[in-house]
Amino acid sequence: VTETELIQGCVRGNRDCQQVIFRKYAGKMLALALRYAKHQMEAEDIVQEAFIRVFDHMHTFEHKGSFEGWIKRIVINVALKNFSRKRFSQEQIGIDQDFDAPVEAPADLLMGVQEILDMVKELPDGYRVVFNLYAIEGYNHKEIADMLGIQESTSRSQLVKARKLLQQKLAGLQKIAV
Amino acid sequence: MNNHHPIDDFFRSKLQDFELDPPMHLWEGIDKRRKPVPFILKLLAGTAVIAMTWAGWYFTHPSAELNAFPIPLGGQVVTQAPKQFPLQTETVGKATPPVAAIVSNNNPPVAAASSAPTPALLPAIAAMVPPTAPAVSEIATADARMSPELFVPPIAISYPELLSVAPPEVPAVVPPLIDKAPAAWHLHLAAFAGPQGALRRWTPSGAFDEATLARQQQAETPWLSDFRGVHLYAVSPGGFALATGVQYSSVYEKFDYYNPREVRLKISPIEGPAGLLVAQDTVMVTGQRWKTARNYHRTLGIPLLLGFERARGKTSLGVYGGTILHIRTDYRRVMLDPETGDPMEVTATQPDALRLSWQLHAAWQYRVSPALQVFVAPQLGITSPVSTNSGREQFFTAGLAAGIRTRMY
Repeated sequence: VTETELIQGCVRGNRDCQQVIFRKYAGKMLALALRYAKHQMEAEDIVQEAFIRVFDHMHTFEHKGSFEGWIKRIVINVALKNFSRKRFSQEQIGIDQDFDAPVEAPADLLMGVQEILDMVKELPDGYRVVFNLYAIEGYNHKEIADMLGIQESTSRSQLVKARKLLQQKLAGLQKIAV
Repeated sequence: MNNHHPIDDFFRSKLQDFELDPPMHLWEGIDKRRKPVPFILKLLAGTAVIAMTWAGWYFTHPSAELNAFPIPLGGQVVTQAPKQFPLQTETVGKATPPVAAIVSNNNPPVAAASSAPTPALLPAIAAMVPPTAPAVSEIATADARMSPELFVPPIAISYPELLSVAPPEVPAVVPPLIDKAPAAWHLHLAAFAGPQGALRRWTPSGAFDEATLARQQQAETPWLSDFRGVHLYAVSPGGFALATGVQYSSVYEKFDYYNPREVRLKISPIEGPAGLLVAQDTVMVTGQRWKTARNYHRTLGIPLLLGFERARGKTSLGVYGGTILHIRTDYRRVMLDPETGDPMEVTATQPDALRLSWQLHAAWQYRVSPALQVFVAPQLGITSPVSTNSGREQFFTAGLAAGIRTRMY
């Protein structure tokens, strides 16, 4: 069964096709949601809501881009909506705003993906969302500013702070490893 | 693509393709929330919609009593306090009491049964009453003791030809745009109801002269109506939609006119010494006054609408336009006779006229569950002008419908 046939089946409300689509993409989407959520339960809620939207709006998919990318955008939108319920605040955590300081590349640590994911999840909400959107998803600052309803400059400063925090965490791990 | 940054590259390379095993309860939760409405519930909902529509039709359909003429006081014709034309009465005739009553006036009382009017007198009374006297029955019902045989029987007036509207040429049945709906289309069933205002633009012509026109207050009269119906929507994945169904509307008009020859019969009972009814005096009076009638007509409409819908989250917005074929199922009107200027009533209880209207409406829908939406839909309409013996009339309508829409497929 091709993906197009599965999509058509979903549009007709075929439950089996929906389940196949879910099984195919749910793992990736859960990992994606986990980067935006604070904990597993919140990520599962995001995925659940996102897949309901996917099945409800499957008929609007125009087969122009990748289907996975389309689902991913929906998951991100749900995650951002979930995030916007909480107050987006510029969290001050006492880091010097040395935007021009050189940032070293992390050593190739023998770290598990789960540990890396935990480092991202430990970032304050605003930093985490901006870092995910910019560094992982590849949105630019203007797009992020539009999505979150913030200034571009805010997006830039949040990203820099997020990088700093992550670098500190990585440096800490390197010291332990040495 | 964003500028490469070592930290970004490191985290992207590690996390971009990261995947987890989704717990099964996730799918169960989705499946539960998206569980389709059982067929039996859809069937019950459809039956309820049809039953409600039928009930709306049945309870608004005129009963035989409503169609009776003359109209009982307190019914559809409401008398109005005189304005610039105060009621002026004059006795134009005094009926002689029946022979039996005269005798009984000079003699001991006789049984009340003997006070029945002489049959020969009835044609005389009937001849004195013009056929256009809607208020005759007002007196007729005033005194319960009066013998019903004494009154002039209602004079049925029928001028079907005056309002018979030549059916406009109905375009040929629109050929189906799509022989078979693609499987991806969704079918929705919607039930709705709402109020509607209408303005009737009437351009008099033919036998209506200036004097006749002066006796009715306006040529453009506001109408109030309500409408309800069931529509079936077929919506394509791209949002293109077709709609058809049935709808039923009742339209009411307040019609003011001046009646220069209002005729009333005053009947006074004559009682004997023991309080028994021995005779009755019948006096006919004429007057003039403004009157108000409540006209109505009811139509069954069959729409054919094209539209476009766009969904965003739980809400969607649709815009529809098209034509509606109206079949006038029944009506009652008090109007001025184009020949004599006298008020007359015309009624019809069978479908007798067709007209087309064009409608544009927007529908704002909110999804309360996967298979059920509630919606409100403001709408504007204009009917085709129709020629009658009294002129040309055209309606402009504006309404607001509210209802529910359920996804059948």
